[in-house]
Amino acid sequence: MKKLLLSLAMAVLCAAPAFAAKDSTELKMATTTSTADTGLLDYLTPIFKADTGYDLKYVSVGTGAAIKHGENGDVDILLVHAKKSEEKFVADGFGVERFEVMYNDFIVVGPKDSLPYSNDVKATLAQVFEKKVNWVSRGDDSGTDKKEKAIWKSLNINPAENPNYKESGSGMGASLSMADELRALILSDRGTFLKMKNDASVKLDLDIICEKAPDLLNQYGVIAVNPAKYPDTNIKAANAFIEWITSDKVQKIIADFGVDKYGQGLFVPNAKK
Amino acid sequence: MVEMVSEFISLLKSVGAFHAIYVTLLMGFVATGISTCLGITFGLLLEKYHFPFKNAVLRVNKTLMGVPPVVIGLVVYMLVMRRGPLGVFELLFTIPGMIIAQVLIITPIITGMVHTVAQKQAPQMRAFAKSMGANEKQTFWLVIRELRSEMYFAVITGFGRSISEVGSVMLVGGNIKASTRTMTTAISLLKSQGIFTEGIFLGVVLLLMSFLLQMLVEYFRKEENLNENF
Amino acid sequence: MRISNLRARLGDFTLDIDTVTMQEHRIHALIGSNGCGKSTIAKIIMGILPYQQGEIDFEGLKPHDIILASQKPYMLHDTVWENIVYPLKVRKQPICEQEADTYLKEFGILEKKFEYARQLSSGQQQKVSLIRTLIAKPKFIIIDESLSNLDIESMSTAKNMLRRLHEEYGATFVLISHQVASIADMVNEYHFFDQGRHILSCDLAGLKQSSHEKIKYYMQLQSLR
Repeated sequence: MKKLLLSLAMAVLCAAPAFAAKDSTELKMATTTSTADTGLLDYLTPIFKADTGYDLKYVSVGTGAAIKHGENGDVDILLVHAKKSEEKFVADGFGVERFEVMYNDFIVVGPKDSLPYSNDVKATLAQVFEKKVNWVSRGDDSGTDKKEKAIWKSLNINPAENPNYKESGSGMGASLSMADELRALILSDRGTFLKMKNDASVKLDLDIICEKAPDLLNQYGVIAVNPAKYPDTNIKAANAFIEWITSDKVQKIIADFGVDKYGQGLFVPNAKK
Repeated sequence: MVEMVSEFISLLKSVGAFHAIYVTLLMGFVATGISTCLGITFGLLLEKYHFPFKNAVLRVNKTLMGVPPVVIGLVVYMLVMRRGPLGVFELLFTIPGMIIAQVLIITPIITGMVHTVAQKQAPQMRAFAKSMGANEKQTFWLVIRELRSEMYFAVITGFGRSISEVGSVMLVGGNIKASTRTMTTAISLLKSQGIFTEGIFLGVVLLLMSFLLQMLVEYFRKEENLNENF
Repeated sequence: MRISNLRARLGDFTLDIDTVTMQEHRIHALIGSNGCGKSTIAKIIMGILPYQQGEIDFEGLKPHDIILASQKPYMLHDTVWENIVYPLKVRKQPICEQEADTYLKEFGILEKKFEYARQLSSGQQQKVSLIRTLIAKPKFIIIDESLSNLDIESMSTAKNMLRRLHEEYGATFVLISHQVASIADMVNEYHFFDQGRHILSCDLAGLKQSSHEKIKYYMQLQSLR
């Protein structure tokens, strides 16, 4: 039955010609919401075009969905941040090779003075559970969500037992707004948080509760979809992007992105040469 | 096979799909109920009374019938958010909040449908009621009774719109698991996780509901045709 | 009922009536060619159409005492039965099923009792409309053309029914018709209209003797002169 339904789903998908256009100067990317929500990709796209001549077209979805797009051969390249899933993606033959690009860090944000400031995310989350503090979880199987679940798991806590725990099932931006509205704490990536705090029409009334903890690192990787599996993908453009984004020039651009606006960079480049 | 089914069900449970069916129906019934009362009243009042700018009101209603629900959702969001004018009522991310948005979406539809049909048929009904010696109140009830099949149709259309709508319930409801998640927002979430099969299953459930509605409409249509067979 | 100095403008049509008195317990007929304003008067009496000027003295008649069978009867989206009992429900009068059945039987549509009224032929609908008008036995009954659309047999049934009601309850009847001959055997007084104006009120003899051009012409067309 599952197979039948899946093929039905595929048939529906195939009918939609969203990705049908065949254009060798086009690079199709699946990425996480954070790279899009922070504006980084929109900032990089014209520079990429000027440097290489390729048009970058991206869909920003949760990491799970992004990887699924890669597995289906819908896109040429992935830019995501869930190391384990990425490595499995390559091991299963869907991706060529994983290259590290940059990281940002996760932070726990919440209403000022809701919990004391800390650099120990486990202690913070344990307190959330004990004191039954309002907590918004993404619950959408995204990279951020996976990160959060891993921390709860390491604490041996089922966060859903907290009556004030809510799963938003939404992207980072929407979930941050929800946390703001519900006066709740939330695990977020720094970039989206800073952008929402500065740029949203209703500015977030949330502050950083916990940051700079070693478990809160968020490593982004870039993977070309394997042309051996999907010959239709644009591997040339994908390789060009990987070479371009790991170059010293672009790494510097990433490091500077957001400094003028937020006083701090949103991403830390760390491509290995 | 059994394993597959249980895996399938546990996945549906993990996104709270069964609660979502309940929320969808609850929201659909309440929102349609309120919109029905409002829509029928507005529709009939607009037909019966003439006042300045009536045409403008009708045009605005026609426009509202076509407004994307997500726009209504955004407006309601801004009204009920903590720092919004209605923030004190704490309606954001609650089912009542979603119902408000839906009422704003469905009421113009029912109003428009009722007004259109009443404009065509109510004058002769009123003339008949008066010729039979009915008073104002009796005339009013006669018009409602005589328009009942058209009203069922309008109400069923409204209900169909309610359960299939995703934009406003996503914004105002927030898609919170086991709370404000509906079938459509659950599908949307499943898709964002790259899970299509279970999403399609929920889609099929929605299709079934829509099919049942369709049958209801057909039933009333049939009765109507029998009625009108000159 | 007394209508005086009535003036009503409806589109291009103007109704202009000096005085028409319809004495109670009698059978009146409003006659004249098409478009003379007969039906308009009925609708004004029932409050369906407005008038700008003049007065209608109902002489104590309440809204429930008056009823109109329209030229094109409106059938409720329901069964024949529901259509027939509607005026009783409006008046909160008890429903006597036996009596209703008698009416249906006399018109030969008893077996249609629980069929949808809108499925009936237009002649049958006229019969339903007549029964509906008579069943509540109001004091003042206006029948707009309903008789003329019936076949000869049903016409005589209807007339007998009317006579019976008139004799038993002394109801006032106003028949609107363009065929004088078909109702001449029961009408007491005629009111002749032409182009929205009231010309003459008199009995049949008066009509026949009238020297008014329009009435002369009208009576000739009806082969009554």
